[in-house]
Amino acid sequence: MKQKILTAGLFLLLLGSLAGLALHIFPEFQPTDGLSASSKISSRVGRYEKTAEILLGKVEIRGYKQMGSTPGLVRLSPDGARIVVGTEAGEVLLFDLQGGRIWSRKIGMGKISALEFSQDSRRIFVGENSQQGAVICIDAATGSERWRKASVDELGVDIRQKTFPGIMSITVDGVGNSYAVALRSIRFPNGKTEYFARIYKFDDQGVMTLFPRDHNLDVWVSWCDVDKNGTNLVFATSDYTPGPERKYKDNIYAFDAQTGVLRWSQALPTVAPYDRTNMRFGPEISTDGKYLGGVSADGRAFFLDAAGKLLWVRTLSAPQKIQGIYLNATGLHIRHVGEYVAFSTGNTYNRANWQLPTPVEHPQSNSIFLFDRDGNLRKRRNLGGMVEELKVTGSQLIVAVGRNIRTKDTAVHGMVALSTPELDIVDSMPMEGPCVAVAANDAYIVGMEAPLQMDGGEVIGAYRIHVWKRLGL
Amino acid sequence: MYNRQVWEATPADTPVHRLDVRTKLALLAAIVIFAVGLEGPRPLFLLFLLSLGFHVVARSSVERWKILIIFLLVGIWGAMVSQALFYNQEPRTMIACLLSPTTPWIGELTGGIFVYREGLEHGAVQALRSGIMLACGLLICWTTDPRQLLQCFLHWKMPYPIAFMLITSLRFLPVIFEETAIVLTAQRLRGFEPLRTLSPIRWVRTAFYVLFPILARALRRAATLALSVESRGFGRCGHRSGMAAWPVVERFACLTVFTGITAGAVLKTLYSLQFNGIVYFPGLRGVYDFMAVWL
Repeated sequence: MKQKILTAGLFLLLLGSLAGLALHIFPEFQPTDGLSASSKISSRVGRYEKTAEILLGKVEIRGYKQMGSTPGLVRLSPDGARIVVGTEAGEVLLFDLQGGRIWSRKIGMGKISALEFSQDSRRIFVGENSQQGAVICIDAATGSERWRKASVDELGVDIRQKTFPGIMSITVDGVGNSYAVALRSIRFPNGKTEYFARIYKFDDQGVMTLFPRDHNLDVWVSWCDVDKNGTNLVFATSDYTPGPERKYKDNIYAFDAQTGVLRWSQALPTVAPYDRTNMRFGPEISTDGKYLGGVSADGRAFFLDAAGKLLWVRTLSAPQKIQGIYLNATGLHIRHVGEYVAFSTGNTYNRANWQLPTPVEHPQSNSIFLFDRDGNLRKRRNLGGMVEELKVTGSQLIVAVGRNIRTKDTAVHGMVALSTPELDIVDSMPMEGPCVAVAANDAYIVGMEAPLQMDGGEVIGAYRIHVWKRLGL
Repeated sequence: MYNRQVWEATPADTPVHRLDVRTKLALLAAIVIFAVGLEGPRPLFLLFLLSLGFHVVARSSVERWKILIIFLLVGIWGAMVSQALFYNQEPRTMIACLLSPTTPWIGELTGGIFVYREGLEHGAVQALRSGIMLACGLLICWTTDPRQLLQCFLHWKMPYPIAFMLITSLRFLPVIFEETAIVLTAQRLRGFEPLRTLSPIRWVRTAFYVLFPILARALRRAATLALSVESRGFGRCGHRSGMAAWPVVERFACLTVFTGITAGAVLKTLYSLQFNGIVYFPGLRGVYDFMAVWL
């Protein structure tokens, strides 16, 4: 009898070990945490209810010493029925609003760098960073690939130096076109940098148009926006080693999205101690197409009209010299919300070296600033953590709040819904780990959480998405 | 475990037993190459399950399963724990602290002892590799008559002394296990209970009490064996009985498997070339993606 029990125990131990290994190696077999009716979780104020919490598999866990948050992308389909996620492990997953997985696919050896639904919700565009730097069009219903376009044909590649082209962002207009920004940069030992950038336009059949038509942009471009009608394409530039003669010296450019003709370009004033105005996440065209807003890395907000005339400039965060070094809070996002325009700032950084700690926190860091179109500041709100992403639903701003590398306060992690123009907290959805991405519409908010390793070694949070449904709709 | 018959090959009527010995050895070599060449945990896990599946098909006895499970568990958990504690590559994520760096004396000396998630994963991959080879190797030993193995090695032109030594070691391993049991029984009859105490000195003494008699018996047996094989004409050239024809189907299956290995080696080489920035073929993007995801 004893022998039988020992034998059974051995077999169970092996089966248990194999089962544990299998669940770890094949995370898709892990049960999804669709929440039961009895375990519904409410947001802080109670306007939202959590409907799903979905683990996204393994990811490298970052601490406060690593620059940048765990990458991840999440988007809601325009018809509001689907959630698409791009993970750090190179997987694209499509879920329904209850957290049920519809399909998933790995994109291979590339890293997912951009993600967007088409306007009709039937296609998903995935941008990757790889030897080919492709835009991949995936059928949203089946997950199968429809077409792909490699940016290496225009931008080139150096596989020995591992300078790969990558898709920096994808945006769509209201008439079925999509636009992808591709970039490749080479940093030389003498500190100079060479850039190759291009913007690709794809119609709903995948037919491609290039901006510019016959040459690359010789500056850093990581973002573009286009108006609803698909007529006006705008993008901003950055150059982290100015000096060599660049063809594209101005800061904002506007092209006719249909003919490819350059409409105008605008050079923006610099501010000491910076020798160039860099803009990575802008500009953005207002819904009515009349205005453009942009925010520069040196912490200034810009507002222009559709013809390129600079209407006003506001300083969100001014560089401060403390103990011989310049500190600042970088400008990050710009969003038009109705008749207002919101800008955000990020964590405090040391201008001499981003990775060095700062003695103090910049007073304007990690904040949202709301202006009216005349440039009057209506409200500012400090969120206590990095504004990782900012979305607009109706008259609300939905903010993904990540880690604060200075205070290391974990209580700020999560998503916050702000009213406009008061910037009052309408509701908040806390998370253990920092919230690194958000998608929202009038009915749902989806946030991506990343795990975070504290200085003491313990890990908080997990790599997962949270789906919240607005009550009372 | 010390029963000799558990370790010796026994005849049976299963698909694995019926395979030609050349097929078994060729497939063993193929599986070993796959186990060494594959890097992804997914294909390694599937290959591990396949190797356990062969034991199911071969209807290995419960005793044999127990032996296999003990070795596998020791291998799996041993590798995972050792790698988890001593993993030194980046990135690495601490999931538990066994000894804080602030612990007086030993904490400062060691810098703290932590369990790393990536170490557990790395250890699991290594354990799967060794587990695959162990499971398949034991399968061959348990389902193949050593005389057939010897014939096969000689048919493949392996030098006779080497083939003989290989088969002899396989043949006498069960004998050594049985003798170990006899020695332990004899020690117990003399009142020696080594596992009754946790004293390391006692364990070392146990090892000497057990190993010396086994070694002495092994040397005596080696001398007897040498006389025996000498008397049967060991080392003299002569006609040896040939093997039966290798079944065509099995030969074709082995050829297919080795063709697959060759193809896999080519793909792996191509992948390594692009990974190290030597050459990249855009037309093979689909192949590179497959390698990155699955292999």
